[in-house]
Amino acid sequence: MKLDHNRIKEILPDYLKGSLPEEMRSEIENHLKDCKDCRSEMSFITELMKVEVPDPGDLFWQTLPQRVKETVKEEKAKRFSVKSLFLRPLPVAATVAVLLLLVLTYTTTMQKKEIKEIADLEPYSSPFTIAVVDYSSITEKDIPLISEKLAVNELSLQTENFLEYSYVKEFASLSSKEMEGLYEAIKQEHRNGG
Amino acid sequence: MEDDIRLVERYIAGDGRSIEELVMKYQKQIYALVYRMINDIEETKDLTQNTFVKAINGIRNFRKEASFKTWLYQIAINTSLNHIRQSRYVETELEESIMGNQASALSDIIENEKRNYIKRCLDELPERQRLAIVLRVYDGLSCSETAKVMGCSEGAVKAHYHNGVKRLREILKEKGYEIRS
Repeated sequence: MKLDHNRIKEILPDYLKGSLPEEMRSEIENHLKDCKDCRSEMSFITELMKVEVPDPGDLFWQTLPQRVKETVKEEKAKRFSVKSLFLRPLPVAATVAVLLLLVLTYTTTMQKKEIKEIADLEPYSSPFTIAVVDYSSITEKDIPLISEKLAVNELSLQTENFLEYSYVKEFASLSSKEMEGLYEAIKQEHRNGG
Repeated sequence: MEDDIRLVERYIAGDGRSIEELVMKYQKQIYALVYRMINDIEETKDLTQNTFVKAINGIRNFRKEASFKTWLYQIAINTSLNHIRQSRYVETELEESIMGNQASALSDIIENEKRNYIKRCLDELPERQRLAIVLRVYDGLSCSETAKVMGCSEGAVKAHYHNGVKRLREILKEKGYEIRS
């Protein structure tokens, strides 16, 4: 395998760590003899590697696994308590009560709203009531027109004389025999169910 | 020590002791990774614990497509980056004062201080570049492993790493500290 300059530069950390196969190591070493740039890069990385991490002490290493375990346990318990909070009878009853209250409030509000909407509408006028006629708009000029209409009997009130058109006169003109016949016919019709 | 997947399955089955085994296995690696991102011992301690707690709480989301280590590294990086973003303003102010003091006393620094200086310069890099250097140089992850952890392509990792190293050398040179072969 032939490694070029750039590839060697890339794998210098692996070379310094000692994780490369022997063949590659010897190739890199041969390249380093001739390449000033790669030697400089290697010196720099070696210097970087000397930067150490301060040891936090044995107590930290010994207690960390237990502390992690305890924290995980505590967080799990917290999550569980939040979940179980909604599964206990009292919170369930409280939730139901709140929901009912909300539904009731909503219904009442809606009813009030409907009443208000109706109240805001035009006042109700029954079609069976007689509207008061406003005569103030009638002028003297209108009077001849009204008179003419009266003349052709368009505006006259139809006052029916019930006596005039009643059956009384007709019955009165019937003889006693005819009356009896009529009476029998009515009775017969009544028996037959009308 | 047991295989990671078996430990995860044991935990899901209800064996709480497997958590301790997983933490013991990876605590030093996660602590070092977080420290190189955060640069503060006390915050690193808290964030290391948070990383494991998050991982265990979300262990059912671990799909076994990548290794448990890669998945854990992703959580550690996200936790660290979130922390950096939340406290960026405070850190910037603090950092400027430290850098000022360091620059004025550069001629007297000893070897250990030089390393601390490099560490601070590393913090000046963009997040992705810093992350690529930390994972490749300090954690010894390969390009493909780094790509999985960072959630990008191998090509992107190579670019971030190359640009990061170049930029870091420039920063050090600007501040009068150059590493020669």
